Amino acid sequence: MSCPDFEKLMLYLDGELDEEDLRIVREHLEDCEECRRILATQSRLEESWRNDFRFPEGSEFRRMEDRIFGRVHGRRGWRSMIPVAAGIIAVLLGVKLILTGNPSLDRVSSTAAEWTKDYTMEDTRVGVPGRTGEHSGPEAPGPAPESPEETAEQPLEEHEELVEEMIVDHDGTGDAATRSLVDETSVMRQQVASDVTEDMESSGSFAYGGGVLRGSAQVEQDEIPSAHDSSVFAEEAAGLIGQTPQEEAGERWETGTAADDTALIRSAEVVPDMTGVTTSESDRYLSEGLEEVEAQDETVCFEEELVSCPPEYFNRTDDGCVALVFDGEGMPDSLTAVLLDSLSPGWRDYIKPVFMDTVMVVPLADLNEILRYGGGVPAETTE
Amino acid sequence: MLLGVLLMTAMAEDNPDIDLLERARDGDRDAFGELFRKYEKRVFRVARRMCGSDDEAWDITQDAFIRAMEAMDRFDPRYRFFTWMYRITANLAINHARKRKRRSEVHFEESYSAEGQQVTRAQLSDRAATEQLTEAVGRALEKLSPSLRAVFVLRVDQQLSYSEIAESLDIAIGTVMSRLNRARARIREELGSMLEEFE
Repeated sequence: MSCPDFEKLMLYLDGELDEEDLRIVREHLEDCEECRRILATQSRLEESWRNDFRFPEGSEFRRMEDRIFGRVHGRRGWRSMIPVAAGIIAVLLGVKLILTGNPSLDRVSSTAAEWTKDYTMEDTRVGVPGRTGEHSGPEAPGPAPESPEETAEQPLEEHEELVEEMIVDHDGTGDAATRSLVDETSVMRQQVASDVTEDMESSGSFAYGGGVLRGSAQVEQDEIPSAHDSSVFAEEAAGLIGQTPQEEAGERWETGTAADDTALIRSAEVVPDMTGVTTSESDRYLSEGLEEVEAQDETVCFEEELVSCPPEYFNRTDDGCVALVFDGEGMPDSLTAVLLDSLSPGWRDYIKPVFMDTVMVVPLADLNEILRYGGGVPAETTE
Repeated sequence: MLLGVLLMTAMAEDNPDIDLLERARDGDRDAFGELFRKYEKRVFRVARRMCGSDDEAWDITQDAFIRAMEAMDRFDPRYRFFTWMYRITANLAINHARKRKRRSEVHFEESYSAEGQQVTRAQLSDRAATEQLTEAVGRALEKLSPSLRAVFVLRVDQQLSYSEIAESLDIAIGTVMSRLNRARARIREELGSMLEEFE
């Protein structure tokens, strides 16, 4: 009888043979010393190896037990804090918005008439670089909000006229309507020496590079304008500006400096701080601010004001107006992003290239419309 | 969701270890302690046999229990709980062993060859011969692939049946038999003349 192979011997050793094979192997082993030797050697080898094991001390196992339990439930505990932390942050943000004068829905429904009445060219000059430390702050009372009903009754024709007045190109070289509006501010224009400051005062708003948009509070915040409304808006805006974005940008950059541009951005960010300041004060700030720009030609001239003012005031006024700042890629800066997250959660879907390098001060009521339709203002870049 | 809850309830009734694990996962320290003490040595031992160092064995032990608690919902009630723990442990150990092999394969080959020559033909007492033999088995085991080593460890060290090994490693019994046979044959081959001395 031939010897079973090694595998069968191992099956025998492991007790894994079936009845028939078991009987055959047993019979073979009675007569085969070599197979018995292999089995004995393998068995002894494995037993020796199995018995040659020393466990660490029990205390090490207990420490490991504590460590594992701590890790599992420490980590789970941390994870369980995420919703709580998110809730706290949400509450804090809500409180912050309330405390910083977030306009209510009633207030954001201000009309174009009110807008033009309360934000004349004289008033907007307060947005020129000034002394934020002296302004009345967010607690300053803004223009009284009109009711939504009154807003709805605003005639379209009147609205269109007001839009013409409110949308002004940044260098005052637009069509007749623009020039007419600019003429009204000729006194102020004479104070302006540099192209940079001219940009700010003539616009009646605060623009950097891209289109300047201000006014048009005809549409309620959550109301989606009709196609007609938006096209009229866009046509008017395009007609008023009267130049291609490239032309405008080219002209402006021929005379402006990089430092001036940065100053413009800063000035735009300071805008909301100044809404409570009187016209006479604003004139003084304007003069001082311009002198500062001309004297230093540096961007740092307004840094102190920015630092001293809580950042939430940069983007928001008491009068239902917000400043939107977009970078060269058309993306909002951090403050603007926070603002848009809270006011127009779908803004990422609306964002358009026309916003590149643009600062806009817009009525809150028009925010969604502007985001959806690019504001009806032609794109401009600072290339 | 309801089905999952019912399934876990049925599993807990059939398998007290699942009940312990579920309670441990929910923060019951006593339940975790009971479960850990029941399996700590088996898990540590398999890990130690597979990896060859206490440090790695501790890491694997820790990871195995954490994985068990985190993956409890994926436990298949058709299997036995201890084979599931073996599977987690073996898989972790195989991964460790593969990583370690990539790091130190050259070094291991050199040291093993030198020590092997020292042992052969030495006049050793029976006890010393046994110690030398088990050390040699350990070194030969390290030269096996992790998958062969896992089968050998579960059979020889843990003395699991073939079906239990198959369940633990999620392989067929035939695969268990062939791997185990290859592992033993290679170990014997590695021991060579040393094995003759031992006989």
